[in-house]
Order: sequence, then structure tokens, then C-alpha cells
Amino acid sequence: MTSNVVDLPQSEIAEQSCVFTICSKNYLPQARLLIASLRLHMPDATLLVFLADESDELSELEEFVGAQIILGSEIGLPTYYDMAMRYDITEFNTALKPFAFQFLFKRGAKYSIYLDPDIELMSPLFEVEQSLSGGSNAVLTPHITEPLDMAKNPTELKLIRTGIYNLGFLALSRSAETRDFLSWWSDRMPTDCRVDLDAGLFVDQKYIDLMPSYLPVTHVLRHPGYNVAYWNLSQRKLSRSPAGDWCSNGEPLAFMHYSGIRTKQPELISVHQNRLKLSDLGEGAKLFTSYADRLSAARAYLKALRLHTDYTFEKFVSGERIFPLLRQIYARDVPPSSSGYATVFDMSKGPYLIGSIGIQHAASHLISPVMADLWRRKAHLQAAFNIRHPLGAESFALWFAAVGHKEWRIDKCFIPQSVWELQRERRSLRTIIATLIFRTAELSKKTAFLYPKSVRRAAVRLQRRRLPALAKSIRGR
Amino acid sequence: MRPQVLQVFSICSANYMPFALTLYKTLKSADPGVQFTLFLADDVPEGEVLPDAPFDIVRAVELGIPSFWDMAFRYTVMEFNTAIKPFCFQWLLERFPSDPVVYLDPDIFVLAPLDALRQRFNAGAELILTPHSLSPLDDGYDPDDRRIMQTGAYNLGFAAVRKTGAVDTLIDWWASHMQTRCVSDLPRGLFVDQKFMDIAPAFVTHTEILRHSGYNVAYWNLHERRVSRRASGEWSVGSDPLVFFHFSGVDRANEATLSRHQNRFNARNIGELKQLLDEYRRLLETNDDGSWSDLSYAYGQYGDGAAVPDLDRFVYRRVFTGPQPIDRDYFAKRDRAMLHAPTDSLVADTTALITRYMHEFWRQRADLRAEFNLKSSAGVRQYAAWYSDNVSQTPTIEARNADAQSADVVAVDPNLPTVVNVVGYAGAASGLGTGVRSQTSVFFEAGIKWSDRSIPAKALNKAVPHTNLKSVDGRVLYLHVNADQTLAILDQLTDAETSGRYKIGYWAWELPNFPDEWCRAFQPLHEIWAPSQFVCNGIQTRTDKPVIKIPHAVRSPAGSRSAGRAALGIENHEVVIGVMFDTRSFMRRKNPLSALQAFEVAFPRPLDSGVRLVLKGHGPLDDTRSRTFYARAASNPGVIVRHQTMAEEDIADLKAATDILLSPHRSEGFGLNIAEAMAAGKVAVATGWSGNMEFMNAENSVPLDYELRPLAPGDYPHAEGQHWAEPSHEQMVEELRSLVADPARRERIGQKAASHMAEHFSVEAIAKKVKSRMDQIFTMTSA
Repeated sequence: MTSNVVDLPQSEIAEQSCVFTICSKNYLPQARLLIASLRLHMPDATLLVFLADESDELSELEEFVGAQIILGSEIGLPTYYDMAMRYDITEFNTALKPFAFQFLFKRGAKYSIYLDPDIELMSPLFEVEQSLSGGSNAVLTPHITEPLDMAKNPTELKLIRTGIYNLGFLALSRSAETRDFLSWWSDRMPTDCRVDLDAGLFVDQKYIDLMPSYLPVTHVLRHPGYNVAYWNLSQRKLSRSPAGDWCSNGEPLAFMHYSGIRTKQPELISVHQNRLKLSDLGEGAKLFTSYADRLSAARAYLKALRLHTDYTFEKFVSGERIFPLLRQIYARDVPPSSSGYATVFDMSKGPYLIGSIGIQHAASHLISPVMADLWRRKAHLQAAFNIRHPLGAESFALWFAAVGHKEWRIDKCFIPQSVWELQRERRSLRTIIATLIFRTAELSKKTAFLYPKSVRRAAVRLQRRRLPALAKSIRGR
Repeated sequence: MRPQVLQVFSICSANYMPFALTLYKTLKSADPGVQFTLFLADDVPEGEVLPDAPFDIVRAVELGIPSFWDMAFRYTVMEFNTAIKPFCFQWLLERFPSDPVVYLDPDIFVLAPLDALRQRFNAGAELILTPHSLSPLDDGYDPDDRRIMQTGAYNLGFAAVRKTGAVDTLIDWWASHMQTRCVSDLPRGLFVDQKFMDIAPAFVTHTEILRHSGYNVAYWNLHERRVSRRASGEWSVGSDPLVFFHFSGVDRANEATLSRHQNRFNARNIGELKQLLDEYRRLLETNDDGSWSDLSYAYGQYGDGAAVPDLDRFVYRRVFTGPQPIDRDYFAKRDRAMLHAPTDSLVADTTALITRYMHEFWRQRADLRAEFNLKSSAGVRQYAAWYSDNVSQTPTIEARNADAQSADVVAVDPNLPTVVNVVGYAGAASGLGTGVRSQTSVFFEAGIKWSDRSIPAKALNKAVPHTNLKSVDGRVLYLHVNADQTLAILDQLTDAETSGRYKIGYWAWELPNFPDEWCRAFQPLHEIWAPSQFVCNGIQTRTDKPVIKIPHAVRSPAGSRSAGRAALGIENHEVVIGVMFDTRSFMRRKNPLSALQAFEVAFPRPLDSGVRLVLKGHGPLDDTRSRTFYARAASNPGVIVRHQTMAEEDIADLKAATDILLSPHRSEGFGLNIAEAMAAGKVAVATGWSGNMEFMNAENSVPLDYELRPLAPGDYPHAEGQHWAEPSHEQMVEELRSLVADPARRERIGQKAASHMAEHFSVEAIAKKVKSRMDQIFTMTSA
């Protein structure tokens, strides 16, 4: 097999179902289990994995995952690398979904079905195929099909905020109407596939609330055997038929979605919920323990293959880690571009080291945009250091170089050279006291639980009132 | 068994009864077979009877809602009207279990029978909903897709159900949320009753998403539905009959408005629909005899007759998140203990007392939230002081304006020499800085003696503060600052600097109506200068003082075409279209998106056509609009983006590198960029409306046709009641194609532009105007 899209024969996917998933290299073990279950239950379907990552070991990865891999950079998305920088790994993976559908339809697929990598099939997707061949343009599965409650997580309001329909599954049929919908949906992905609940955005998923309005013949599939996961497990009773087949509320179980599972703690079911314990699931508990075991085994196997499986887009070309703050700075300051990997992931070309920090005074050269951004986000830093004043900026820079960057795990390269020079020049009382203040603050936070309430209050008061005052007196010197 | 009857109901308070009567009459005449019930979210005092109405009225208090009095206090009148909707459904479904039940908002006009509903119910539907829109809504106007995602996919001005197990479950669930969550809180994902119904298709198998284009036609779907009147007089939408129109947001006081909740349509751009709007407004008048609309809201006042402020309700629901066992006695008098208890969500170790009411007051006002940081002790003390000074008697804007206008302007001292003292941000690298520097060179050219008094611009960090006041004895005090800054700047000057001077303000403003809030600034001034007739017109209607038109003096920036092209990587033979904007000064107004759209359509293969679009922007990129815009630009190979602050000479080169300046703005006070491009002999293509028509005409440039549209809140500062222009997309495409293809035409227009600007807007030309006005002033103020 090969990854070259030109070689993907049209006849191979024309006039039949194409089932695909999207993941980065870190999720290939999940994808391997998904693909295996698809081979078992849907042997005729064309299976594809879109890789939201880079790799020069594609044939080895394809062999591991058991299906053809298509690199995300080859689906014809102009701002691909820009999105890889702008978004975190989850946002980036989900943002590719509409483009993958467009890619497959352009190459002749008649039906395309997307499944999250952490899904596993238990039986063929009979109802979906029936619905698509019966004329549906789309098939969606709702998170819940009856009221939940507001007592435990996730609440029904939370589900409404993040989207009625779970986009771990989506089936589309090729048609003019579907094409129009995909075009609207994909237009939003280059910049608005964010998690921003206050603005009513939740990756690609929230947009799909409008699908029943915009796309005629959208089928909302309420079958209890579809997309069984932590959000609806309290309403779906898992059992085995006498023949040994899995059922949900008595109907055949089509697929489980192990969203948020932890292989070392399958008893949690999912890190996103607190409504159920594994013991509440009866027979169904076996599904989770078995999946966790097999996923661990798949991970171990991939590790043994000694391939490069780290997410490429978590580092700059030069090797520095890209922590969330940097992505936020990039998303805020850089307009979307069609630049290539080498440009986008060149740290020196981004707005992290030099550029306006919105403050101008004699010491502003001591503060990089990354440092300024951290300060803007953390109220306690603002209380302690007034970086709008040159002396405050100096104290902040010295503190940042001495401890701050370690505390927030920010690479030293984001500290301007001039700060190190200043530090050498003034290995003085001021650095020591600035450092001491923050050590005390951190210590009082970390050990507070040991003390009675009155002492805890005193510690809070110290942080709120005494520390800024102390910092001020240091600045005044 | 009797045949099924559609049970139709609506909900309103007494003041909305003219709407309900109009709904009832149009419904009955269009579909006489329905049974109508009105639920009154209101009441009359005990012992009094309701005025007459031609239908059954059920008062909300009769619905048997368990937490009725809590809801009546918790919610504002609009929220309360929507919150009781599921309880009304329950009431009707219980009494008429075999009939479908249909809800219609009172502001609906029914024109044809509801047959599609009967047919869908017969075919097995359990629940019928109408989406706001059946196709994407993303043309830059409000509301758009994003807004609909936040407020709910389906418009709950309409809903129809029949009694089934799943429907009962859905409505009971909906009702339980309506007890406390019928509020508009978009960040929390709540929008009254409507947002909850997004989940209906997931709960009810036979949910019918009604795609009949004649149902629930309203401003949110007019972009996809053409309403017209057939020869026979019937109204239709495409091939479907118009069944009902939803006049949501209709403004009884303003006939030019289709709806106050949007900015896409007005009475002028809806074609024949205007007739229906007029008819609806007429019906509302006919059905308003005052017997209902004079009643005051029963749950809107305390026992002593004082109104219940919305803030009281907001505090109540913040304190009590769950239903409280209160009854009608709670309305007897204001619960001061509850309102004036210290707020519990602030640090307690502060000396000033912030009550719950004060805290809520702060939460509801963006200006106060920006001004006072209640997380700091100092902020708390300052806010407490501000509150005690201001809130008890916050005067209305009108009252303050009246005060201001009546106050006398201090007389001018004729003994002062005929010198002009210029005050402005002379050191600032901004439009205002350039403006004042340019104006001083005009004074110089005019031979007027002047001295300058620069003020440091707080917001402009490149400002160079200096106060080299060479002379303070000029008779004219010329303030080159905008209306919103005038009073603050005068405060900064000493009495000696201001007293006895003839004061002139030079003001610009981009929209037709001059904002109320700035009218106070007229008071200390003797006259106002403005750069265009457009701005003068706006100001003139607000004052009796002289308003004099003094246009900006326009210079052509000296840049190098070849250097600019080299910097952009553009070949000499290519045609360059330039668009300039600042994300801070409102993408909506500068409208670069229109330019990009026109470019995309005009030149599908720009590189083959030898044409480039240069987008020169600067400013923060923290809103979605600008990012989406750039995402779109990034996928076009013919577009070059320069998003950065540039040195002045680089900008001059960039301007020199362009052939055509495209400005599809929606409104300009003057349009200095356009004027400068014309002075340099470039072809200006710009919206043919507002300030730039001061110097543009069909000979020397390409003015675009336009349509006027009202602004929505948030489009621009002081947007209320304003309108601006939407340039013609088709014409823009045509003109760009023609100009790119025809170098001779560009040459011709460019030459005319350069000579027109040199003749009428050069420093010399403007200096003449200034000189003649100054001479008049000096004569007028001599003893």
C-alpha cells in the first residue's frame, strides 16, 4: 500500500461504503482495534485512516493499523499547517473531518462513514446502511435519547452546550445537498473549530446542531445500540443474548464508544463522568475491562516496533515543546496562512520572542510576548508585579528567569537574553526576595490542607494582601 | 367520536393584547376550523373582571404551576411569557388528548389554512418544529449561523404536538427546566425556552422538521424565501402559499423597520412584503382600543404601586437558584433585606459595603465593570463611592443635554490678538495626529498666526508629550479633537488658556446621526468645523451653532512604485488592487470582506488574469470575523496579506504600488485614504455614499451603487437608529473586471482624479477657505 493520494484507485471506493477514522500517531493503537472490528463486521467496506500528523514510516504504520493511511497534508487543505499550529491536538483532529468527507466524495465514494478511533464495532451498521440506501443524506446519533438529570456529570445542559449529536459517528451520502452542507461546515474549520463554550463553540460538533435544519433528510438515529458511551450508559442496559451477542436495551449493540477511558483505571469508565461505576454496568463491565486490556497490548506492541509515534505538531522544527500558551498567542496574533510546515513551525518566525507586548518603557525589552501573555492570564502575577512600570517589569523578568519558567514549564528560550544578563549583573537581594515571595506563596498553597481553617484563612490573606504589599516594597527599593 | 380539531393557543400579557387579537382574527379568517385559547401571562386586581375578548382566556395563575409565584417574580415580563409555554401545552393536552395542539407567538399574521400540519400529523408526526432557516446564513449581518447556534435551531414562535408518551416526556422535561432556567445567558448555553428544544429530535422519534417554506416566514429566513403577491391577491413564498408571517421585533413606532432584532432587512429592501408589513401595522392599530393596553403588568409592581425593577428580579434569581415557596404576599412590598444584604461573592475583608443590589447593578453595566475592579479592595471602595454619588439620581441624557444647551457660552475677549491657538495630538502617529499637523500647515499657508498646544494622547503610545506653548494669547482656541474628547481636553487646559477665547471644535463622525451622548460637547464651543457635508449634516441637526465645512487638505504620499512592488513580490505588468483597513476601527464599516468577495468572483483565476489583491491591515486579531476573513484570503493565490504596523515610508511605497484603491466601506466621515489615492492619480472604487462623495464623482473615480440598511446594536458605536450603505456587489465585480482589462480607462480616471484633488483639496485650496472663515471670525469678535 502507499499513501500517495493519486494512487487511491477510484474504483476501489466508488459505489460502496467507505469507513474512515482520523487520528494522530498517538491514537494509532485505538485505530488498530477499530479497524480490526471493522474488518470483522464490515468486510466489504473500504477502510481508511487519515493521519493528522507527519511520518516517514507510513508503510510500517499502515501495517500496524491494518488499513491504508492518508496523510492530512495531502487532502488539499490550504491552511493545513496553520491549523496544526493554531489548534491543540483534539481541535486539529476534529477540524479535518469535513475535509476528509469532501476528499472521499470527490474520489467517488457513494457513502462515507466516520468513526472516532476509540470506537469498536460489535455488529454491522445495518440500520445506517439501510437509512443511507433509503435516501437519507445523513445519519446522526444523539448523545442521549431521553432526559438525563442535573445531578451528576455530564448534565443534560452540558450535553446541549457541546452539541446534541455526538460526532464520534457521522454517516453521509454523496448528493448535491450534502456537498452544500459540507462546504458550509468546512468553511468554519480553519479558524472556528475551537473549544469556546462561552461563544457557543465546541470543535466541529456544535455546528451539527444545525444539520437537521440545513440538510434535508437528516436521519436522527435513536437506536439504543449505536454510540453507547459514558453519556448514555445510565439509560442503556448492556446484556448478552443466549447466542453470546451483545445487546443494549435488548437491541443488538452496533458499537461502543470508549471516550475518556483510562487503560490503567477502567473502573472510571470515562474521565469525563461521575454518574456510574463499572459495577453499575453488570455484564457490560467486561466490555470496558476487555477493551482496556487489548488497548494496553496494542500500545505495547506499537512501542516494541520502535517507530516514531510522538505527535509531530507538539514541537517546533527546532525541538522546543509547543505548550498551550504558544498556540493561543499564535491563534490571536497570526492570521491564517497557507505557509508550509517549515515556516509555521519555525519558532523564530512566530510572535513569541519578539513583537509588541503592548507595553513600552525602558524595561519592556526584558519581557517577551510569552511572558507578557502569562502575566495577563494570571491574576496573582498581576497583583505581585506591576509590569507596566519599569521596576516591576524588572522584578517580573528576574522572578520568571529564576523560578517562573520552571513553575509554568515554559522553555528558557522564551526568556530574552537581556534578562540573563540582568540576572548576572544583579544577583542581588531583589532576585532573592522576589523568588522567596513566590516560594512562600506556593508553599502556603501546597501545605494549606495540613492546617486548621484559621491558618488556611491567614494563608489566603497573606497571598491576597501581604504579598502584593511586599512586592511593592521591593519595587520601591 | 368527534373529528380532530387543531387546538391553537398563544400567550401574552395585557399590553400585547392588540397582537393577540390580530393573530386571532387573521387565524380565524384563514382557517375557521381551529379552536383558539389565549393564556394571559398577567392578571387584573382581585374583584375586577377582564375586558372583553372574542376567545377563551385562561389566566396563568389558573394553570396550576407549582412554583407559580416564584416564576412570576423570578422572570421579567418577556421571560415569564415564554416560561409558561410548556405548562400551557400540558393544560391543553390534558383537556383535549386527541387533538393536536399548536402554539403561535402573538406577533404572527396567519394568511392560509394550517393544512400542512394536519397532513403531517395524519402521517404520524408527533412533534412539528420550524427551523429558523433552511440554508446557511452567513453574509455578515445579524443574526447569522453563529447566533442561531447560540439561541436555538428552531424558532419557538411556533410548535405543534400531539399527545404521545415521548411528547409528554419531552414537555414535562421542558417544563421542569422552565421553572428556573428560562433566561438568556448565552455563555451558559441558555436562551429562554428556545435552546432546550434543540434536543427535541433526539427525544422524539417522529419529530417533523417542517421544510414548508410558507411557515414561520420572518427576518431570519427571508434571505432564502421570496415573498410575493399573486395576481389573485394571495401571498406566496416561491411555489408555496404563505401560511404565516412572524413579525418578530416589529416596531409600532417606526414604519421603516421590519424588525428591531436584526440588521439585514428594512421596509425598503423587502419588495412587496412592505405591503404586508403596512397591512399588519394597520391591523394592530385597529385592534388597539386601549381597553387592554392600558392595563399595567400584574406582576410588575409592588403593593404600594412602585414598579418591580428588573434588577430586583436578577438579584432574586442569583440568590435563589431553586424555586422558593413564596406566594402573592411576596409582591406586597420590596424585600429590602434580601436586596441590601452584603453580596456574598466578593472578598469580605474590605471596608466598603457592597450590597447584592449594588453588585448586580455593576454586573449589568459594561462601563462599570471596566471601570471598577471589584476583586481589589481599592476597586470596591471606589465603586461604593461612585454608587453613592451617582445612582440615586442618574439624570437622563436628555435632561443633561437641555442643561448644557441652555448654558451661556463665555463671551470672547476682543482685546486678544488675532492668533489661533491650536490644541491637538500633534505628536501622535495616528489619523488625528496627521490631521492636526496637516491643519497647522493649512494655517501656515493661509498666513494665519498660530501657536500650538499639544496634548499627550493617552491611548496612543507613540505620542510625544510636549507643551511648547509659544503664546497663550490667541483669540481663537482651535480644538482638533473629536466630540467625545472635547470636554476632557478643555478640562486639561487652564482657565487662562480658555477664558475669553472663540472656541472651534474640529469633529469627524462616520454615521449619519450625531450621537446624543456627545451633545454636551456643544456647550463650551462657539462653532464646529467638519470635513464633509455628510458630517456637517449630522451635526447641524443637533445644534444652532454654526457648523462650517472645512475639508481635509489632501497630499499625495510620495512613495516609490517599484520599491513597493518589490516588497510585495509583484511584477511590474500586474494590476494591483489595494484595500486598507484597521481591525480596531470596525471591520463592519471598512467592509474588506466585500472587497475579497468581489475579487473572488471577478477573477476566478487571478494569476492568469494578471491581477493581485493586496490587503493591508493592522490591529488585533482577537475576533472571529477578522480571522475568518484572513482564512478565506489565505486560500486565494491572488491575495497578498500584509497584517502589520508599517513604517510611514513603507506604507507610502505600498500605496504607490497599487493601481486601484478599493473601498467598499459602509460609511465614511471623509475617507482620507481614498482621497490620498486619488491625489496620487490612482483609480478609487468606493461606495458612492457618505463623506467620500465630497470629492468623488462619476468622472474622477468609480462610485458604487448602494442600498441603505439599518445598523444592529454592536455594528458600530452608537448604532441605534442609524443606517449605512451596502455597496452593490455585482457592480463592484463588473467595474473591477472592466478596469483591469482597460488600462486606458484607468489612466483617464486617474488623471481626472489627480487634477480634481489638486484643484479643490490641495493645501492652497483649503487654506483659502480657512482664511476666509477666520477673517469673518476675527471681524465678528472685534469690539
